[in-house]
Amino acid sequence: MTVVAVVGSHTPVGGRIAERLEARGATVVDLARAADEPRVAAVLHADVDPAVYEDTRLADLTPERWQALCARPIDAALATAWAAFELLATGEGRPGRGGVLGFVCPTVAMTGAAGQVAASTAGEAIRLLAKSAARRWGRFGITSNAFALDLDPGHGADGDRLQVHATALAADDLDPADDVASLLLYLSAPGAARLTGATFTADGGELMTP
Amino acid sequence: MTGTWGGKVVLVTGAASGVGRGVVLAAAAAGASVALAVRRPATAAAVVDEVAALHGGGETRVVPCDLMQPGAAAAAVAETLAQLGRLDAIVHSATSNASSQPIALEDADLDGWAEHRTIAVDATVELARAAHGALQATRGSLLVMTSPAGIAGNDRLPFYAMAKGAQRGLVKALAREWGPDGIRVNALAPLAMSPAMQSAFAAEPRLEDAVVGSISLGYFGDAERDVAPAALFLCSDDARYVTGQTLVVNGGRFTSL
Repeated sequence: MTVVAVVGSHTPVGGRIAERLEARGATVVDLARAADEPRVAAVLHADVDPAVYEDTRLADLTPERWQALCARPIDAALATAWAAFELLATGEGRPGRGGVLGFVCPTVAMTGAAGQVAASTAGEAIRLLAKSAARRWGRFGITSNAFALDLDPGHGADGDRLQVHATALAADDLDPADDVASLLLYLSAPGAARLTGATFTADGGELMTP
Repeated sequence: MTGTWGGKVVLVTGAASGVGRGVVLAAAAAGASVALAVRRPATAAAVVDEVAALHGGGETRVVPCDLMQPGAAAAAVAETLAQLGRLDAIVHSATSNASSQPIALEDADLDGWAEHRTIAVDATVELARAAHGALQATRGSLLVMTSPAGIAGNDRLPFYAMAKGAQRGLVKALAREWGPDGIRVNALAPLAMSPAMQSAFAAEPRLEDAVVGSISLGYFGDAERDVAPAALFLCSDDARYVTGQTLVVNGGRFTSL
């Protein structure tokens, strides 16, 4: 039985991933309860606020909106990272047994898009948190990866993202929650100990990075 | 590129030292007028004297600008426009004083992150919002100094990596948003000797050998000779079809883009 702490299960994206994890036999807990669970194998930050991905042009990004749409999501991801470290870190007398840390990020972090300055900025900061945590916390038995999803429903006239999906799945069957859930559980298994610092893009092949 | 910037104005943050100083000198040598945005105006005096010794350079203005203060970046843009009349490029080179100070991510806190974010990220947004109209009028350019750490992550500089990564995300999105307005937005990831690096190497002499050993071209870059020309290129009409990109200028030390 794999125990996964999900941050953001109250959001549409986080909630769907939590459901898919449970459907695959995992026990999903929120971070507040995770400290009571001695067998937490993974912590997933899937706190995706749909408002971040509404088309917001730079002229409308007042300091207050910038705080809400960019600064706070990054702060939240850092808070999850630190909580995950306390739960999972092993060695040097620490109580954890190692584990997996995951961050849901938008693919727009890697491509940019008009109206998505806040989302791209925050998304890339979080992706670099995932990479830096991978580099630093491997010694404590923690792997850290990002899961990049197409979170922007607008799909403006954006060159990179006009590519058609590569998969044979129908457009309305491209919910990546099941892919993220199954991948997270795979990463929690012993055979995946060397998969760290990566970004796994689950968007049906729309974005294929170099 | 000498003389091609005649009549044009460049605003440089972090202008008193390192890459910012290098860009100031190169822009002035190419004929630009330059606004030096610095936290402590006295620190820019030496650079102003260096510009004055050049032949054919435009005017210089020192613009007090503490990027930790809300509104300072916008004020720097306004002062530049008031004093020099136009704006053709912004080069955002300023960075947190903690950029090269190692921290363990598990021991860090949000206060430590806030300084990196404020200078690298929030200030870029404030500069951009304030300068949009002026840059649109000149079909100008915004250039942000980032780092390979913002691409690959860093185990001892996690906040620096996050800030530099955030800047790259911002650059890509803003490039797409501002393209119809004729404004280009790019990033440059330099490797050049800086006061912070000199301090780090003085504290750990073997570190310099280790770093130089990993540079394909075999030497540490010079901000003025090796980095600034690439920065000016990205801001110039020679790069008029380049936007949303990161140019890595570090002697081949990082080739994973």
